[in-house]
Formats: sequence, structure tokens, C-alpha cells
Amino acid sequence: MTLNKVWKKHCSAIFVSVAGIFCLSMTDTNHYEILSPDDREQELTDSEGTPALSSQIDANPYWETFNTWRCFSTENIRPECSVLDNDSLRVPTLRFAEGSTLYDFSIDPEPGLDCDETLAKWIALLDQEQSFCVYAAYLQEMPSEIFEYEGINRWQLWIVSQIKTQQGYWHLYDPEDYTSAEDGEEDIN
Amino acid sequence: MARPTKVTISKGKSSATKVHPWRLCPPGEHWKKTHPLRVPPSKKNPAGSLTSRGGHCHGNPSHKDSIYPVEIAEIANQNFSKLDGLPTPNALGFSKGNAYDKLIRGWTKYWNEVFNTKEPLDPDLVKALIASESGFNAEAVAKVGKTKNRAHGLMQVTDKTQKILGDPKGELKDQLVHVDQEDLNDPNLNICAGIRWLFRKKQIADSEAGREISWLEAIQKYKAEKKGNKLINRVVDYYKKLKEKSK
Repeated sequence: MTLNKVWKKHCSAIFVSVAGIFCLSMTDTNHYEILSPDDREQELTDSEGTPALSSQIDANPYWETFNTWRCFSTENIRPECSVLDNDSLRVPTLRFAEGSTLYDFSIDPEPGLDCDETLAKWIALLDQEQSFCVYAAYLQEMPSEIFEYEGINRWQLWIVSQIKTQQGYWHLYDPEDYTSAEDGEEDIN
Repeated sequence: MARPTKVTISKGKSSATKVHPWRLCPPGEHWKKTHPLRVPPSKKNPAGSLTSRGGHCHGNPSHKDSIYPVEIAEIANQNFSKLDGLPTPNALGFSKGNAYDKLIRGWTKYWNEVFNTKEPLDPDLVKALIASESGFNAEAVAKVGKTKNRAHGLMQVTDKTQKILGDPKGELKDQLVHVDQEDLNDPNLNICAGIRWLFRKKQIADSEAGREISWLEAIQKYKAEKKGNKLINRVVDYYKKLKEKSK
């Protein structure tokens, strides 16, 4: 293994570890009183099951992150379409700064995703609201130095699966499509 | 006090078992590739700049094992050029008769290993099936009876089948294949989905017969829902030609 490869490997391990420690140090209080006991129950159940996100199975280091509810003020929030793949792909993103961190709460590209349509649903859900909660998993630290944003020294990307306000929920996947999957199943074996 | 965000990091491999050595993600997750991400223009960077949104595995909402087009393409790119063996290089009189041999070889091996059936599926049989279904025309579209259901591509995968293959509440217990109608014109996606469906047809026919049936009988089942049994003889003829050539 070359010195360069060793250095890259160690850098990668340090980076993931620092990100992990940072996430572990975060606490999330339900000070906006949006979340219900069921939401907390779901968070607990999901944290014991399949991770929301993980690295490729053979990656070294291998990492996993789980969905967690986090609540924020809607002040300064910027709902927008992030541009991927040289303009060919757009994904809805809630971008805002809190403290010295810039957050991108975004979703993964899905077949048939219409960014404007999803963004319109998010904007309607956030309309007139002072606060909101996101059910999201941490993906990565972004290079904050290339993003000119006042008072910001870190930039994080999280992948969202639900948003909740006093008005209700937005779900990435309609829970009706996935619950009780065993019920209608014909098991031939 | 709320719980902190859960992040786990480990050196080396995950403890999860792979569905197949070629798969990129643990069971119950699917692959999302790396995307260049545009950073908006600013005073410092008036032209904006680019960074990267990292590739990762994303948990399936159904928790069932599912494979999506991005990973299907990745698996073929990373593994299929290294393989050799069947199907027999005989074009069977078609201009593109040997064009999809690598994909047939790769996906037959993949599904044989995933399902680990007593009698493995023969890549020559898949090739003979494709010859009879589409004549190796990747864009072939045909009506199925008098219904709105249409059959697409090399293995003539129907609209109905495409929905079943990706439906987490449908008849597949596991090993879902998420492709849309347009994807079925892509030879790689079509062959991956078509062979998965052939395994399902065999599973149903095994259960109905109360014994493990032959792959030829399974193909009869595969074809029956679209065109009746008449064309099964054509598959047998193509299959014999491939086997004669391979001797």
C-alpha cells in the first residue's frame, strides 16, 4: 500500500469518527411540542432495526446511521432544489443555519421524483409554522469553506424520511404502501 | 432528555451477510450512487462550484431485499466482463444473437447463486428463451392478448410482471427488482428482471406440481401467460442448436 493510500485511509477513518462523535454529542429536545409519543416510539424501534443509511458493505471503515427526530425553528429556512449531476437531477432540500452549522436536509434521488412538486408540499406544510421537526439520518460533512455563508464553519448533509409540523406529516414513502406487507403475501414454499 | 443520534462505525466489514458477493449493500438496503452537487454562486465564487454527495446504502422502506437500476448497472459493470462459460456463442441466425451473452451469463449466475436451486438454470436456456421471445430485439413491444398489458424488451417482461417484481406488498416474499416500464428496454435491466421472474414462475410451478419441475417446464409457465404453449417448441429448437454447437 502506498503512503498516499495509507494517509487517505486514515483521514477517512478520522473524518467518519469525528462526524460520529459530533452526532453522538447532539441532543434533541422536543421543545416545540410537535412530536407525539408514537413518533418517539418509532425512533426507538427504528434504532434497533435496519439502519437508515450505511456505507457500502465492504467499505473500511464501515458506518451506519439511523433516523432521529430533530426540531428546528422555521426562521431563515430556505426550501430549494439542490442541483446534482450537472443540472440533470434536482432534489428537494431544506437549507438553514443554526449556530455555526449550515444544515442541508435533503432526500435521495428516487425514480419519478419531481423536485418542484415535493418542494411545494414541504412549503405548504411549513407555511405559517414557527417550527418543524425532521426525521432524518446523518450522511456526511460537506466542505463548508466553499459555501459562502455568514458565520458558518461546518456544513452537514442529512437524508430526510419525514417532516412534521403542527399541520401534519410529509413522508418520503407512503406508510400505507409498506405496512402489513406480510398480510397479502402468497408464500409458495 | 431525548436520545442522541445513533451512529455506528466499525473497522472493516459490516457484520451483515451479503445476499450475494456482488451486492454493494447489506440486505434490506439499496445503493445510491455518488452525485456531483452544485454549490450556489457567491461573491467569493461567482461561478459557483462543485462538491460531491457521497454514494451510500439507503434502507428499504419494506425492509425486503430489493435491487434497483443503479445497482444492477454497477453489478454488471464490475463483474460480468470477468466471467466466462455458457451461453454458447451461436447467434441462432439473428444479427444480435450473441450481443447479450455477457448479461445472460452474469444474471443467470447471480440468480442461481441467490436462490441456490437443486437444478441451476442453464444460460443456454435463457438465450433460447430470448431468441423465441424477442429475436434479440431489445426494444420489442408486444400486446398480451386483448388486454392493455404489454410485453417489453429481450425477455418480453410484461407490465403486470414489472409491477409484481417491485411491489413490496405483492407476491414476492423477497428479492424484489425495482424497474419501471422504460427500464425494460435496457438489456441489462430486462435480463435481470426477466430471469428473476423465471425463478418465480418455477417456484409457483414446483409448488403446484408438488415436486421440483424442470427449467423447460418453468419456461412453459413463463410463456403460457403471454402467448400460450405454441412457442415452447421454438425454445426447444433453439436450445438444441445451442447445445449442438457447444459439443
